Order: sequence, then structure tokens, then C-alpha cells
Amino acid sequence: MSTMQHGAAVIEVSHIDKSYGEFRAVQDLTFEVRAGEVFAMLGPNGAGKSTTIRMILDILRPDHGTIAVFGGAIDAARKDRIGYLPEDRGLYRSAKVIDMMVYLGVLKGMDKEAARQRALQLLEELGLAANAKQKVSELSKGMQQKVQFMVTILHDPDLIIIDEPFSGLDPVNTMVIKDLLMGFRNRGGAVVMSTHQMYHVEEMADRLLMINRGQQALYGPVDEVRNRYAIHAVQVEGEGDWTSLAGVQRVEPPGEGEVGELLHLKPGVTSAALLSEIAARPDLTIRRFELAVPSLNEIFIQVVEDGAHA
Amino acid sequence: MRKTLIVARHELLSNLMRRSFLVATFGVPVLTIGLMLLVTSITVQFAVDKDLGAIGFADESGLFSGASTEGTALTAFPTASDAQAAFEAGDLGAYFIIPADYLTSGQIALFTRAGMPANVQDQIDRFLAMHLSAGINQETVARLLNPVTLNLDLLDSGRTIGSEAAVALFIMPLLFMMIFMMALQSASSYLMSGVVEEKSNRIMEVLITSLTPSQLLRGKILGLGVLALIQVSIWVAAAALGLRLGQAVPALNGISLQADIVAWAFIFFLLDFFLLAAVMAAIGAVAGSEQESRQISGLFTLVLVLPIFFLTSFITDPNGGVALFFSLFPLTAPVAIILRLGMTTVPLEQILLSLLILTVTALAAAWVGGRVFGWSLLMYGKRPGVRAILRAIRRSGQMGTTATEARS
Repeated sequence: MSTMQHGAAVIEVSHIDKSYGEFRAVQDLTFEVRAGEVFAMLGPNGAGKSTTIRMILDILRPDHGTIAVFGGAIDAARKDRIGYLPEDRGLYRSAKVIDMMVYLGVLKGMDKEAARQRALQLLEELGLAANAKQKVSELSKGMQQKVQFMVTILHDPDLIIIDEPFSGLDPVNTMVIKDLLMGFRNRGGAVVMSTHQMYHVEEMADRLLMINRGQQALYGPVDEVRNRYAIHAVQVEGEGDWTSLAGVQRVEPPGEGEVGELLHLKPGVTSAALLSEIAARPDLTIRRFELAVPSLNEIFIQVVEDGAHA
Repeated sequence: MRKTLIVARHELLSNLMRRSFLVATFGVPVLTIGLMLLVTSITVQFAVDKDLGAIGFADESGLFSGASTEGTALTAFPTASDAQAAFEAGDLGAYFIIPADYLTSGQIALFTRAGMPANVQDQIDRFLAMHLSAGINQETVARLLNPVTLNLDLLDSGRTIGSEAAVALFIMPLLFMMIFMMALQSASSYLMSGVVEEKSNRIMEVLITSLTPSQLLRGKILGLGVLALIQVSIWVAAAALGLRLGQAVPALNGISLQADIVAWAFIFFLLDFFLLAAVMAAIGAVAGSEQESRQISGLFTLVLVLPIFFLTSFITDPNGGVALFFSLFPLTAPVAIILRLGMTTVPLEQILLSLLILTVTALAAAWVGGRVFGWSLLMYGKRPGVRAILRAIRRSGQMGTTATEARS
């Protein structure tokens, strides 16, 4: 159970740079991750996400800038408070599940018996108790992924750094892992999640950092970022002639797979004013009325394309 | 230190339970002792069954007519057919014919149902010699028949062995050296394949967020070093037991494991293990696959046993230039010193100098190997070039990744 104060800075990254020869993998990156939040790290392949994560974990050292974890420079004790699941992950295939979990738990500073008890508890919770004494190679791929996740949280870390957490998981296991991560966050833990799957970010993340070409492209609370990209329009679902509304400049029909028209507002007209106008019109009925906010996926594509043209 | 010991314990226990380790550790001595017992029992059995009973002979040369057969198992027959008839009737265990040209040809024809025990030939030799040398002092004849009973006093090493065991002078150190090399090879290959596995299954990236590469490397070397010591101790004990059981075999008579050789061998073995382990760990971390790492490590193993190719030089002059060179060259020193210790007394200053060179080399290998190991843990797929490796050795504490090296 996390003992950190909710909202306290867990990771503080300040103006870090990292170059590989002539290639600048990370440039002047600054952000912070707080206790009790899911922090999404986004970006196209090769944007610098993995390099940044490896610098946080002290696997790589930044050329410039500083990184503080749990209030100080990372050391062995601080590393033991982190659970890390890289994208390229594996297990000791010839080892028994329980033995391998205990070994990795003990390496994280746990007492051997405590590691065994905790491993058995997690195996029970995730429905793998019967597989404890099986060799890892005898497990299905989905089971192995669950074991990998269990290893990440076995030592009850305060910070989980997880790269593509749901890659290759079926919907049921995705839900299980998602619940575990959200439970961890609600207990005050911090989750850094690097992923390409935007709907998971929309669903889970409190704040995000989008990196493009090694630089910060977007940073802040998810809702705030989405609103920043909101267009001056509302999406409505209902019946009536929307073009007859005084505050509407033009009406965009629904795209493929979409429901409801997009009403672009005239300059100076607010969404609240338009809603009042609709309410005053008996010939118009609405079932849904919401601000037209682009999905993170659309924002992601736009940012990457803007970056490519810059 | 705690994490180093955790890794060491893990490496020791997980490899100790490997089927291949158990088969090699207990199978080799069981097989060796079993063979020793088999050879011993065959030797004893042969000695018990050597009495073929009466042996007949027919003299066609006329040289032995009237010769006394008193006190022997020999019976004279007038003709070859008489001897043959007695043999076929089961009265004789064997018979031989002395042909007319025996004196010039020296050949006789022996007929027997099965093989011929050595003592039968001894009896025939003795009978023929005694009667050909009629008139000469019989003690002189006996000495002519067996002029030397050699007892080899190795003044350098203070050992005495029988002449039949002289061959063991170089076979024993060879055997001894094989024991150590096999243990060394298996432990270091466990280390290398472990590193390759941890890299290829990508668990390495998780491990190095729990401990430093040097803690990981030290733990592996320590754990597998203990594993190798256990294996070599079992083999040496089995060899000692095998030799004790094999004393009935003439070639092993008087041969035993010498405490001084065992002690020196253990010291050299440990240092050689540290040297090889550091090299193997670096190879395992740098190589793209287990197959590739085995190919590279095979070259090192070949160098280690290079003195075997110069065995003749070691036997003819164990303190000569070739033997000295291989004793001082760190990679071949353990094999060369063990070989020489079995054959002669190696000057103490040479042993100490060899140890010093080996220790310095092992420390240097640990330093270089540690840097390469730490640097290459997160590099997957492509094997880095020599220039990149040299750069990594010069740079301190930096870990490489596939990305860093692709861009550098």
C-alpha cells in the first residue's frame, strides 16, 4: 500500500537531453508524475518514450538535465520501490512460476517468505493458483502475460512504469489488468503508462505527455488537452432543420460510423446560447448535445502530422 | 552484496537441479568407477582361470628329446597327431608343436580351445629356454628371461611406482586435467547460456532495474564457481576412489592422487574459472544468439587445451622451453602446470610466477568483461563490432542499447 501523499511528485524530470551520436533522441523534456494518477506517455515509434523511461530507471543517463524519483536521485532503494514492465518482456521459461516470482521479488528487496505469500496471493487473485508449480513454458501466452504483470506489482511498489500494458491481451485479461492498475492508482500509487492504444488513455489516464521527435508536444490533464483541441462546434443527435438555427454557421453530416450532425457555430455564439435557442424551438428535438471534442487518436495524428510538416 | 548473494544462490540452485548437470556430475564418476571395477574383475577373473590343465607338445626338431617336464604342466608326445588325439579326447587344455626349423625360425604352433593366458606362454618360454641353455647356471638363465624388475623412484616428486604404472605418469595428469577442464567448461557455458537466455527472453531489462550489471555478473560468477567446485570435488573424490579400487590393475598399481597436485590444481582451477567466466559472460552478452556465443567460446576452449597438442614435448622435457611457455601463458597455464606436476617437480618460483600472471589476467578480464557485459545487456539482435566494444570498454558505467549503438 502506497504511503505517499496523494498528488505528491513521484517523478520530476527537468530539461533532460539525450543524444546518440548526432541523433537527438530527447530534447529539453520537462514533466512530472504525481502520486495517485495514471500518467500516459504517448508518441509515435522512435519518439523518445523508451529512452525517457530508461533514463527515469537509471538504465541510461541524460546528457543534460536532472531526474528526481521519490524526491531524489535514483538509487538502489528507490529502484526497489518501482515496478517496471518493459514492452519487450519475458520470463525464465524453464523455471517454475512460483520460484521465478519469489526470486524476482527477493531481488526487489522482499523477504523470501513474504515474496512467496504475496506471489501465492496474486496467483490466487488472477486465477493462476493451480499453475504455481508449473514451468513458465507450460503456460499459455495470456497466462504468461498475467505472470509478468504480477511480477511487476509483487513487491508492492509505489510507482509502476509499464510499457504497452495491454499488448497481446484478450479483452477479459485486459479488463483484469486495467482494474488492477486503477486499484493501484486509487490507493495512491503512480502509474506511468506508455501506449499507442488511445482509448485506454482516454479511459484510464489522468494526465498525459505526448512526445514527438524527442520533444514535448502535449502535456497536461487529458480533458484539458482534449478541450484545447476542441473546435467551435457541437455535436447533436435529434430531429429538425439545424440550418434554421440563428447561431449555426454550417451543418456537417455524420461521417461513416458516426451518429449525429456537427453544428459549426457562428463567431461569438456559445454552445450554451445555442442550447437555449434549440430549447425555445418546438420544431426541434434533441436526444444528445455535446461539445465537439476530438478523440485523443485524432489529436495524436494531428500532432504527429503537424510535427512532420514543421 | 545481498543481491549478489541472491543471484549466486539462484544460479547455484537452478543449475544444480539441471538434468544435464546431475547426469554429468554423477554419471561420469559412476561410469569411471564402474569401468574400473569391470577391468579389475576381468583381470582377477583371468588370473583365477589361467590354469588350462595339462599342455602337450610334440618335438619335431629333436632339440628337446628327453627334456624333463618335471614340475611343469607339460607332457611330451611322440608325434603331433598323438598330441592332437589327446587334445581332442579332452586330456589336454592345449598343445604345441615345435617344428623342425624351430632353431632358425623361432616359431611354434599352439592349439587351444580359447585364448592363451599369459602364464601358459611363460611356461612354454621357460621350458624352451631352460633346455636350450642346458649347461648354463640356472639363475643366470632366470635373469636372462626377466632381466629387469623396474621400480621407478621419482626423486623430484618423491613418488615410487611400478614399471607397469609408468604409463600413468602422463595419463594421470591428462585425466586430472580433463576433470578440471570439463568442470570449467560446463560451469562457464552455463553462465554464458544463462546470459544469452536472459537477453533473448528479455527478462534482462527487468533484472537490471533490480540490481546493477556488476552485481548480476558477480552473483553469476560466484554461484557457478561454487557449482563448478562441487562438481570437480565429486569427480576428484571419485577418481581417488577409482584408483584405490583399481590397484589390482597393474597399470594403476602404486598410482594415487597426490595432495600437492590436487591443491595446486584447485588454485589454478579457481583462477582459470574467474578468467573464463568473465570472458564467457561478455561473449554471452555480446553474441546475438546461443549458437553464435558457443562458436566464439569454442575458440577460447581450444586455446585452453593447447598444451595437449604438445604432449610429446611435455613428456620428453617437462621443464623445457615449450612447457615453460605454456605454463606462463595465462590461458594455458592451468593445463600446462597440472601436466608438468604429474611428470616432474615444477620449480616453485615458476608456479608462483604463473599464478601471478594468471591472477593479473583474471582481474583484467573481470574488469574488461564486466564493462562489456554491462554495456551490452540491452542490445538485441545485431552483434556489435569490435570498434563499438572497444569504445564501451573505454567508457565507464554507460549501458548501451540497440538504439544507442545503431545511432552512434
